[in-house]
Amino acid sequence: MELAQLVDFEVQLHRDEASVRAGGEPDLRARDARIGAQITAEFGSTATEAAAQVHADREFRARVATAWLRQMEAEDRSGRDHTARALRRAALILTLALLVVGALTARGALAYDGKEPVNVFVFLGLLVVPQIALLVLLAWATLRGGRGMLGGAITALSQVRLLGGSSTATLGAVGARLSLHAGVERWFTFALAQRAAVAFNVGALATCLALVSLTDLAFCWSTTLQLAAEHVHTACRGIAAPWSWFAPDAVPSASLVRDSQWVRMPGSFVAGGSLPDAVATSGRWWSFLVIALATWGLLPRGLALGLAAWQSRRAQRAVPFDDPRCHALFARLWPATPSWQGPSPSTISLPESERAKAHANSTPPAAVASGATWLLCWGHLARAREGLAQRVTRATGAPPLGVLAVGGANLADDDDAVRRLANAKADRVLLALAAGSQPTKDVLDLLRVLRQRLGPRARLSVALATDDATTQLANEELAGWRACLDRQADPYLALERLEAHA
Amino acid sequence: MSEAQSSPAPATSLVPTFVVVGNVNQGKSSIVATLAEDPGVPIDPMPGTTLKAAEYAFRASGEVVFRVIDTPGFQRARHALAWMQERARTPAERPRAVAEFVRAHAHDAAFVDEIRLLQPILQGGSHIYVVDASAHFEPSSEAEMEILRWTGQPGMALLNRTRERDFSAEWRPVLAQFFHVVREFNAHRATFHDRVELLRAFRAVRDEWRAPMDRALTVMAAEWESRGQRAAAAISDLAIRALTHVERRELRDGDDKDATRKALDQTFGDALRGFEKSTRTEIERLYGHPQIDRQEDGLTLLDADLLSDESFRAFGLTRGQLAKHGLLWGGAAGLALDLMVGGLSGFAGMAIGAGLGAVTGFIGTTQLTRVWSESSKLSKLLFPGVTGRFLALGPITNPNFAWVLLDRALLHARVVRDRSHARQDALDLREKAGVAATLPSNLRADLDAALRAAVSDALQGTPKTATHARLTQAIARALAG
Repeated sequence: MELAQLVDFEVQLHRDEASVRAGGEPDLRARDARIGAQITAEFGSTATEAAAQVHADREFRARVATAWLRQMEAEDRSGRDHTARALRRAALILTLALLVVGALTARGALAYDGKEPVNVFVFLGLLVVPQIALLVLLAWATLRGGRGMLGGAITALSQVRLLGGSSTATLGAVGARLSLHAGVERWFTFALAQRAAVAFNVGALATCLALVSLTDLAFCWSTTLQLAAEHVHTACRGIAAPWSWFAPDAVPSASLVRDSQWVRMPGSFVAGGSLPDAVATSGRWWSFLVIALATWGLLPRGLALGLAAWQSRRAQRAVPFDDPRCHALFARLWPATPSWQGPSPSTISLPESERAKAHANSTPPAAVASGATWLLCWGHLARAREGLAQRVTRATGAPPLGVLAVGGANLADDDDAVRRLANAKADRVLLALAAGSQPTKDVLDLLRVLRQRLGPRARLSVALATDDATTQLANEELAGWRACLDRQADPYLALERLEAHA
Repeated sequence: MSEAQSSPAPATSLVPTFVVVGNVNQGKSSIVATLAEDPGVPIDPMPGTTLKAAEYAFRASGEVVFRVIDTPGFQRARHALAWMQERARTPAERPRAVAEFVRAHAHDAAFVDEIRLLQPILQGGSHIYVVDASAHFEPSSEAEMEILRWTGQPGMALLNRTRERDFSAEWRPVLAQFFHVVREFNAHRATFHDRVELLRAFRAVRDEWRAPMDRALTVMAAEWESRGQRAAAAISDLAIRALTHVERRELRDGDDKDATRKALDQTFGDALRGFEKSTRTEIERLYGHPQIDRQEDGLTLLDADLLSDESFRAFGLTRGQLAKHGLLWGGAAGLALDLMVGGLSGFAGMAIGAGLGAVTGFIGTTQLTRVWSESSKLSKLLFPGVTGRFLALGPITNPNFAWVLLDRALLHARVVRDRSHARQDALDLREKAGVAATLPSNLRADLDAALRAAVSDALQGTPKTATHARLTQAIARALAG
């Protein structure tokens, strides 16, 4: 994507962001989903492939951004001049202007009224030396890196208060965002300058050739400084060094330099000589000047233009298109299709048949049978042991033979309770748990140990205790307990009901 | 040197991984089913239904964004903690003690559940500790939370309630000591909004997982909106198909006209019910309830005769609202009448229809359409080139019916949309009233106008994308409300 397109891209992203803030996201989503479908059709891929590739492939992101911008511009009926078009026009105008300036400069440098020959110093000073200096300066500025000129100019423009509020905001945001594309921007500016310079040189060169061909020019060298012809000759040889090996005739000879020095007073060549000599002498400079302009003006600019084009393409290829705004756009183009993936239920759970069996037994538990019993209070019920003992007394007609705490933080309490029950040869034990407690292996372990220590005929029962009479136990809660106790295959292990109001 | 000793810092999974843990039967699988929108996750009041850890991966365009792992519950947390306490004399040794426990009991049937739930946490997952607030806080719960704290991994607590009993107040101060994020979440009543809020809470568990969770939330929100649009489009299709449907029977010499009419009534009703049923199926599939039980008594009302008086009373608009919209619908109905009589009425039918519409709207007639035959203009429009005698029924000319149909579809879509995937009961709409009468009047007017425009286009044989889109948008707004 070229710089001009990047500017348009950034402007459009900024507008979209403003639209999202104003609540227009659904419209943007619909628009971009449509464009996304057009792009996938154009690329011959699917939305899923595009959504995956856009995260992984920078080149693909660049293609998508370009295609999106093209679609946006195709849909834009506002008649607004896009940056790409504007920059192209500006570049053309600049090129043409420099072409004309080059021609006019050459015309000025070669101005000859038949009285005073053209001073080659003026020609070189206007058309060759400044160009070399400018080229060196621009190359230094470009290679130095840093912020490009265009982004800076846009940011500066955004400070102009005469522009509308939204315009300055857009310019400011886009100017700031262009720092992301500093490489592209720098080489674009460099290329633009080189193109203009090439035009300038072409204009100048064409004018030179035209004037040489169509008019009668006479050249000389002249300066107020006390400059010896030998020094001028040395300088000319230096300038002509690049072509002296293949165009020796275009290198001014020492005699030519000596013979073509001009003095204003009295207005003649220093060497004097006849008119034919003067004509021949002054005419021999033109090939040197034309080749000097081509070599030191046009050629470096042409090479610089080639370098700029190459570097510009490299910089364009390096634009990552991976900042959050780009990803927001890609997400709108191809909304990620969410899905959940999990295991097959049968591989992770109890078989359906076993679960069905548990639900089949829905007989409500019997009330706690009469007769003295030991009471074990599981977990937090140990704190309510007195109230629970009263309930058991009411239910069985006799106070508990003993009340012990189990299922607490200290495992030693469980061992202690089992030991006491074994020592007392307990033949009936009621394990009370709070409603909501689950038949964990921890609870079932205790029942198993009790069975081992108290013998196969000791009556063990489990009761779920609610906090008050108004709270009812859910059938499925009881069914879960019953299923777990049934699995113990213990005929003297029962689930009983311990009513709060009993 | 053991592996745990060589890596004292707890691992962090690159992909956000949330391990749902807790005592058995606390509703862990229900929460996973709700989050994963998977009614297939095994859920049962029978304790210990989940035997193995099960990973559910949320993918966006094929890429895993985050994972939720359902686990079997803690069974012997007190014993596991006691084992670890014997091996950790200082706080620095605790994560290593947990790792040693997992390694030492990797093949121990006694702690198989603890191993299965601790392994994914030690591999870098964060725990989501689920408690059933309808049960008291027990010492074993403290052991569970202590073990989770010892893993060194961040986590959060979810208060779920599986019964009416509520001991949240007892749990909260305890949970706050162990978790810096504590949320309530009723898996069986959770809507999309609740799920999103829960996932937002997940973001707070680990800073480095915020970005992927944000991405997941964005993707989910976009998908949810897209589903809403698709559901609205399906209802829009249903309305247009049903309101413009025509059933036609050929009449041969000797055919009993009354019997033909009766058969026509039957097939007409069957067709409309078929349209509604297929739309329901599509919407249920859209919202991840493909196997929802619609055969049980929960669907009595929606399975009831679409054309019955009962439906008219439960759905649609109030009499006042109908009188207002009926006036406009009369025009559309009149257009159908004009077409039926071949335009001979000079389009007076439209004007008469407008008046009739208001009246029928107010008195609540149940007459849906008119019977017509081969001589009408509508016949030429609908069946060009077909000659011979026939009897036809449709299209619908009753505004009450249009609104009843729309209202039933809106209600069904809303209920399905908000239904938790943890629920295993049948879809029960018996006690639910329609929503059309409660919509804002401007939205009702938009819906009515869009519906009339779409029906009118379809009746004239020129269905337009724009009118369909307009109706879809109005329905989407009604669904969102």
